[in-house]
Amino acid sequence: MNQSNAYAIETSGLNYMFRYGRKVVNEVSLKVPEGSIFGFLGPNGAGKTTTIRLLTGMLENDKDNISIYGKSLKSNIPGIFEGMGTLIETPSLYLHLNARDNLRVITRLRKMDESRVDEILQVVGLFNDRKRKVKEYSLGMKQRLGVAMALLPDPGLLILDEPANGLDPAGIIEIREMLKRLNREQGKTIFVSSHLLSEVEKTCTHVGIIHKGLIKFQGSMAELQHSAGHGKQVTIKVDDASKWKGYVTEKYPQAATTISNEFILPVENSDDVTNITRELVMHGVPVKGVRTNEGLEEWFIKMTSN
Amino acid sequence: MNFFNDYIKAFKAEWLKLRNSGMFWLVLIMSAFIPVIFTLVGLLADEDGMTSLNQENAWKSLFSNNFQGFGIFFYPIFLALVVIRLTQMEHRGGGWKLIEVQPISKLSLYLGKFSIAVVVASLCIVALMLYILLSGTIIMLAKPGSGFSKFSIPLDFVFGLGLRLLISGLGVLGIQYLFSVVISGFIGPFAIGLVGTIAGTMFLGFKKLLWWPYIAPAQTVMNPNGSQAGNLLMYYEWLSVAWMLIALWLGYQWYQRKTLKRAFFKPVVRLLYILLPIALFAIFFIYINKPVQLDPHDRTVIAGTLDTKDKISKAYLVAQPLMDTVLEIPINNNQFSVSTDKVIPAATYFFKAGNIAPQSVFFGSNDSLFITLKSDGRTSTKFNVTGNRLPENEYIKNGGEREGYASYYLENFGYEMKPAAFAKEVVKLWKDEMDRIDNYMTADNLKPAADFIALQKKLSSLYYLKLLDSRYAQWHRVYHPNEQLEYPKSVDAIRNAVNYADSTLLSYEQFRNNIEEYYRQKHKLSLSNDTAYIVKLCTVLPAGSVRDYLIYNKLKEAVGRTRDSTRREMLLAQFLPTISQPGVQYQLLAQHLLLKSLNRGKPAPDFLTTALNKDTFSLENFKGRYIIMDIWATWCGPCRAQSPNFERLAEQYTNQNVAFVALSIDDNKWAWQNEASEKSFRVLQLHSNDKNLFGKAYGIEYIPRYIFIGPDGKIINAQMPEPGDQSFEDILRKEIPGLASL
Repeated sequence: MNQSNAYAIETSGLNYMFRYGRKVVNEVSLKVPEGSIFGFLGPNGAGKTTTIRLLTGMLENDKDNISIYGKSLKSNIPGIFEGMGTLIETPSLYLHLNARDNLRVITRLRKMDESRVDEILQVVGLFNDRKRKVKEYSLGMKQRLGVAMALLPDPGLLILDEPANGLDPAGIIEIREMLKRLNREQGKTIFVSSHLLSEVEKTCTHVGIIHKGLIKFQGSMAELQHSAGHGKQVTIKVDDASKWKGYVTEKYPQAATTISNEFILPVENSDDVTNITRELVMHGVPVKGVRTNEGLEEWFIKMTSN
Repeated sequence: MNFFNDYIKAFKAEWLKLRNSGMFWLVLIMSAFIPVIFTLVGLLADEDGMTSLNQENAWKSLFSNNFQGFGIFFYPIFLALVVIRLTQMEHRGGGWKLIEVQPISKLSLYLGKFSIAVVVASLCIVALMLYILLSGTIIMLAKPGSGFSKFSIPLDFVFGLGLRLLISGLGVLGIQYLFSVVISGFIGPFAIGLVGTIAGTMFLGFKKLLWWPYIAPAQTVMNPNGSQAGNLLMYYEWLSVAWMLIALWLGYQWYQRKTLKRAFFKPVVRLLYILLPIALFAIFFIYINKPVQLDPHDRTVIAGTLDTKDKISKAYLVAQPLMDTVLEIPINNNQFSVSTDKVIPAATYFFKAGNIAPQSVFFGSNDSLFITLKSDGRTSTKFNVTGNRLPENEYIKNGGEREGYASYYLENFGYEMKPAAFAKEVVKLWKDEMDRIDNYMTADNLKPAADFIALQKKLSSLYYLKLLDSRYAQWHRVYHPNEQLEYPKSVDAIRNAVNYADSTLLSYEQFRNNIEEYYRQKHKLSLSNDTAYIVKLCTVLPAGSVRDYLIYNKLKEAVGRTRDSTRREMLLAQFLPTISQPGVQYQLLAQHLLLKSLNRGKPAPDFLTTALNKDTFSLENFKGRYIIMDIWATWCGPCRAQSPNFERLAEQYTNQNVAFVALSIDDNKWAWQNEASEKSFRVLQLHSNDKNLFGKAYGIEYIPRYIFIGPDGKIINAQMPEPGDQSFEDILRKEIPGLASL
C-alpha cells in the first residue's frame, strides 16, 4: 500500500438536493488518500451514487468544493478526466457496436493507441466475445465491459460504482483480485462503492460509511476494526435457551437471547471465548455450536438502522 | 488549437459510431424513393411526355423534378430521422455519461455529432444525384427518343442545386438537434419534426409564414435556378443558416448545463445567454425578411441576348397603343446593348424582334435591363428580364392573378345583391387586392419599385370601378329603371384610387378598354354613328391624349371600313384636327395613304404562303389568273359567318382563269390546319408565312377583308364588300370576262 499525505479525492461539505426534498448528500466531507482502495459503503439509497456523480461532474454543483489530486474539479473539467476512469451505475455502452468498437470510441476520444483494446478485453475476460454486439451481452458481460472502459485509459484514479453488480461469485472474486492487484502493483487509487460489507472488508484499505446522506464513519480499516471491535461477540447455540436462560443471564448479565436458541455474549478477545465455552460445558449446558464475529456487521446495522 | 484537436477527436469517434447504426441504409433507401418513381414514370410515359415540348434540357428537367419531389417533404423528415438516430444511440446506451467523463470538451462533442449529421445529409444528396443519373440513363437507353441523349448534364446547375438544398436544410438540422439532445425519447423529436414539416407545407400553400425553417428546402427546390438577382444564396437559405446557429447555441447551453433552469435562469445573469443571441437573431431575421426594392440606375440601358431560329438584326421597343417605336435596338451576333439619353416614361412596352410574338416588358429611364429571348420558331418562346426592374417584369409575367371565385360571383350574380351589400363586397375585394399588390415579392424577396406598385394599384382599381359603374349600374337600370343608384361612401376609396382622365395609363389595355365603356356610358354616346360620337367626345372631353385615343380608335375603324378614297379624305379632313398629337394624326394618315396606294391598277404587294400540303404559294403562282382572296382567321367570328357565302361563289365560278383563295393570318398554325382541312376544296386554303408583313402591305386593320387581284398581278379592288353582299358578285361578273355568262 503506497500511502502518502496527499488525497486523491477531497470534498468539503458536499451537498445535493433533488427538487425540494431532503438532502440526498448532506455535508459530505471525504478524504480519499492517494494509493488507497477506498470503500464507500452504505445501504441502497444512502446517497452513494449521487456522491459519485458529483465527484465526476455529472451533477451540477454550484460550489467549488471537490478537488482531485489537489486540483479543483469544477475549474478543470474536462482536462481533469485525463487521469480518471469511471464506471457509474449501469455502464454506458453503445448497444449497436461490439465490445471492441465500444472501447475504440474511447481510444479515439483520448487519442490512444488501439492496441490496449485487446489487452483490456483479455483482462476482463471478454476477448472471445469481442466481436459480438453489446445488445446481445448478458448483464455480467456488460458489467465487465463497463469496468474495461474505465480501465482502458490506464488512469491513476478509478471511481467505480458497484463494479461487481450482477456478477456471479467467481466474477466477484475476479474483480476483487484485479482491483487489489492494480492497487498493489501499479499504485492506483481506487474509489469503489458497495452495499456489501463483506466485500468491502475483503478488498479495501479505507472505508467511508454513508447513511441517509450523512457520513457516519471515515477512516482506515484498522480504525474501523477499532471502533467496531468493542462489539466483538460470541454466539453459543444450545438445545433450549429458555431452560438455561436463568443461569446464563445470572453469570453473564450482558448476555442476550435469540429465538433460535442462541446466546450472544460480548467478549474482549478469543481467550474469553475459550473460558465461557468451558464454563458452560462444565455446568452441563449442551453446547451445539460456537460462532464468533468482529461485530462489524452488527455495528454496521446499528449505525445504519435509524 | 486545443478546441480544434478535441473537435477532430470527437468527429472521429462519432464516425466510428455510425457502424451498424443503420444510417447508411437510411440514406440509400430514402434517397432512392423519388428517383425510382420518376424512372417508372419515365419508362411508362410516351417519348415526348417527360421532356415536354419546350426543348428544355431533359437532364435539367429530370434533376429539377426529382429534387422537387424529394425536397418538399422527404428531406426534412429524413433530416429529423438522422438526428434522432444519432442522439438515440447516446440516450439509450446511457452514452452521454460515457463521453462526458472523457478529457474532451463538451462543445467539441456537441459540434462533432452535429457535423456528422451534416455529413450524412450531404451523402444523401450525393446519393440522390447518383440515383437520378442512373434513372436518366435507364430512361435514355429504354426510350431513345426521350431526349436525354441530345443534351449534356448541366453540372453546375446540379451541384449548385445540391449545395443549396444542403444549406437550406441546416435550419431543420439545428432545430431537430436541439430537441433531440434535450428530449431523451424518440417520439417527441420525431413528432416535432413531422408536425413542423406538415405545418410547413400548409404555410407554403397559403404563402404565409414563409420564414418557417421547415420549408426552406421546399423553397429551394421550387426555385431550382436560384437567385434571379445575382445573389449567391436565396434569402431563405441565409435564414436557414441563422436558424441553425441560434438553435445550436440554445441547444448547447441547455446540453452543457443539463436543465433548462440552470442553462438560462439560474443565476439570473444566464438570462443574457438566451436574450442576447435571440436579439441578434431577431435583428438578422427582420433584416433578411424585409423585401428589397431595387434602386434605379444612373443610365438607361437595355442589353441582352437572342437565341432564335432565324437571324435577326434589329429589335424594337414599341409603345402601346399605337406601336410607335420608342427605341431601336441593333443586334450583332445575337447580342445587343443600347444606352440612351432619351426620356422614356416607365411603362409596359413591347419588345419586338423579327417574327417572334411581342413580349411585354416594363422599362423606363434610369432602368438597366438584361433580356434573354429564346424562340424555336414554333410555339415556344422564353423571355426573361433581369436588372433593376426584375420584380416588375416578373409581376407582369405571372403576378397579376385575381382571386377566383369571389370576383366571378360578383361579375355574374351580383344583381342578386342590394347596392350597399354589393358595394361592400366590392370594396372588400378591392382592399384585399391592394394589399396583395403592396405585398408582392419575388422568390428572391425583391419587391417592385413604388412607381410600379402605384401603377398596378390604379389598373386593378379599374376592374372594381367597372363592376360598380358598368356592370352593376347596367343591371340596376334594367331591374330598377326608376331608382337612382346610390353607393355607400366606402366606394369613394376606390374612386379616389384611379382617374379616368389619367393619360399615363393609356399604355395599358385594361385602361383603354375601360375608358371606352366608361365614357360611352357616362355621356350616353351611341356607337352606331361615328360622326356624332366624335363630335360629342370633343364637347365633353378636353383635348389631350385620352381624347386622342378615343377619337383615334373610332376614326381608325371608320377609315378602315370606308372603301371610297374621297369619302375617307373627307372624314379625315373633318376630324384629324381634333386630335392633338401629331404622331396619332400621322398614323391615321398613313393608314389612309396605304389604302389609297392599293388603288385599282397598282401592283399587288407580293406575299408568301403555305398550303395544307406544305406547298408554298406566292403572287407568282397565280400569274395569269384572277385571284379573289378572303383574309380570315379561325378566331374571327364575322369571317366564319361570311365563309359559306364565299364558298358558294367559289363553287359557282372557279375555273382555270379564276382562283378563290382563303388566306389565314392565324398565329396558331395547327388551329388553321384543323379548320381549313374541313372546308370546301374549291377554295384554296393558304396560311400566311408572315402575317405582320402581309397585314402591313395590304393595310389590313380588320378582318374579314376581301381582295381582288387581276391576272397581271395588279389590284382591281383591295377592299371588296362582303361576299354576302350582292355587290361582291356584281363586281366579279363585271371584271372577269366570260363570268357573266355562267
